[in-house]
Amino acid sequence: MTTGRRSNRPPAPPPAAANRGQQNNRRATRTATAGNPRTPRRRTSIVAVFLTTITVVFGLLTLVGLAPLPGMSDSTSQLLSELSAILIQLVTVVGAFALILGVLNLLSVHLNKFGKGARGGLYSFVTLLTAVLVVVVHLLDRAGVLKALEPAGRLPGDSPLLSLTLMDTLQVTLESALAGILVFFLVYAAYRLLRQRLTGWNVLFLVALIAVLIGYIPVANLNTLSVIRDWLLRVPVSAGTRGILIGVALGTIITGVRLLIGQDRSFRG
Amino acid sequence: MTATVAESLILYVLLLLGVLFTAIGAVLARQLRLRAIAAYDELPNLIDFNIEAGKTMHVSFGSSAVRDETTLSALASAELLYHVTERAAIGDNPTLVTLSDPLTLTLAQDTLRRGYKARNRLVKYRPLRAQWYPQGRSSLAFAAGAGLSLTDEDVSANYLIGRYGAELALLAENAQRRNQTIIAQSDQIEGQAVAYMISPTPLIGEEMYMSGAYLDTNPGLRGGALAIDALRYLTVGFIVLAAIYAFVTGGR
Repeated sequence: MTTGRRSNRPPAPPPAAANRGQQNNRRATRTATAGNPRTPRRRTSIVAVFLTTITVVFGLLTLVGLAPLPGMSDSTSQLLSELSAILIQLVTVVGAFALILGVLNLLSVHLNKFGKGARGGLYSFVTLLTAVLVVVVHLLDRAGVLKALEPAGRLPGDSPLLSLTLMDTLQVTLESALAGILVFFLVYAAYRLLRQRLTGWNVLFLVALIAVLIGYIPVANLNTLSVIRDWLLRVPVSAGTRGILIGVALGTIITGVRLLIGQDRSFRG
Repeated sequence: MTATVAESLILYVLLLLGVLFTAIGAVLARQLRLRAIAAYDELPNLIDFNIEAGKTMHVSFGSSAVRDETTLSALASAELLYHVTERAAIGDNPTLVTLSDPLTLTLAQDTLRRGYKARNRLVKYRPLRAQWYPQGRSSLAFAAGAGLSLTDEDVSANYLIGRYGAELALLAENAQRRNQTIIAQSDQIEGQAVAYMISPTPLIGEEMYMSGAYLDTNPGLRGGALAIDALRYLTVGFIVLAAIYAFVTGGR
C-alpha cells in the first residue's frame, strides 16, 4: 500500500543478544514466537456474539446521541441525546466502583511483593503502611477525633482538614519535586538523542528546541530571538503538531470503525 | 455535549469512508505491502531476546482509559498487549502491564488472559501482572509507581503506548538506567515529543493504532491500515486544495 516513508533505525540490540550462541537459540525461539499464523482457530461462542451485539448497538446509540444524523427529527435527536447522557453517566458510576478494584489491586501487588521479600519489598512496605495510615487518619478525621488539630471556626459538615493537609503537603509537594526533576531528564534525553541518533531530522529537532528555549531568555535588545521563537512556534511547530494530531484522529476513527463493526480484539477473542 | 450538524456530517463521512476503505483493504489484504515501522518490525526480536534471557516484557497504557476520550487509545494499547503477551507466553516470566485507570485494569487483565489462552498457557496467567497505580494530579504518581515496577521486575523492553505527558521522561529514565529498550508513543503532543527523544524507534501519530495490521494476519486489521493511509492522503489533499483556494480568493 505504501512505500517506505520512514526507515527508523532499529533499537540497539540488548548487550547479551550479541552472543553468538544466543543468536542460534533465537532462531529456534522465533518459530515459537511468530504468533498468529500457528494459532489454532477458535470457535465463536454465543456469549461473545451476544456481548458484541450489545456493545455495537449501545456504541451506535451513543454515537448517534452525541452526533445526531443530519436530517433526524429534533424529538428523536433529543431522546437519543438523553439516552447517551444516561449511558455515559453509567460509565462514570462503574468507573467510581472500579476505583475500589484498583486500590485492591495496588494493595495485593505490594502485599505480594513484600510477602515474598522481592526486590523493592521495602518500598512496597512503605506503600502499604502509607495506605493504611491515610485511611486511619481519614476515618479519625471524619469521626471528629482529630478536631483538636483543626483551626477554630470550622463547621461540622466541612471536609476533613487533616486529610487534605496531608494530601497537599505530601503528595502535591512530591509531585512538584518530580516535575522539577523532569527538566533535567528531558535535557539529558536530548543529549542522548544527539549522541545516539545523529540524523538531520534530530539535529533540526534539537536546533529548534534550543532556539525556542533561548528565545524565552529575558535579555534586553534581543528581540530577534523572541521573533524567531514566535515564528517557530506559530508556523512549523504548529503545523507539525496539527499533522500528528490529525494522524491520531484518523487512527481513532479507524479503531472506532473496527469497534462498531465488531472487529475489535475484545470481541474476536 | 452534542455535535453541530456540520461536525456530525464530517464525522459520518469519515466513518463511512473508514468502513469503505477498511472493506477494500480487507479484500486486498494479501496484496497489501505495509510500509516498514521499526517499532513493530523489531517486536519479534525483542521478545526472542526476552524469552532467552529470562526477562519480562512491559506494556504500559499510561493514562488511557476505557471510559473517556482516550477509550480508543486504550483499545489500541490492549491490541498491542495481546500480541506481546501471545508471543511472550512461551517464556518463563509473564508480561507486566501498568496503567492508571482502574476500569481499564479489567481490560488489561482480560487481554493478558486471552494472550495466554491463545497459546494454551493459561496456567501462566497471573492477574496481578496487570498493575494499577493512581494517576495523581499530573500523572507523576503513576510514572513513579510504574517506574519502580519496571526496575523491580527485570524488564528487557518497554512498550509505552497510550496517553502520556512529560511524565513519560520519568518512566524512560528508569528504563534507560537499566539499559532497557523503550518503544514509546503518546496521543498527546507533549508526550509524543518526549517519546521521540527517548525512544530509538518511536511510534508517531496514527502508528499506535496499526499494531494489529502488522502483528496479526486478520484481513480486517490490514484493511484498517490501508484505511488510515487513504484517509490521511485524502486529508492532505483536502488541506492543500483549501490552501490553494484561500490563496487564489485572497482568504475571502
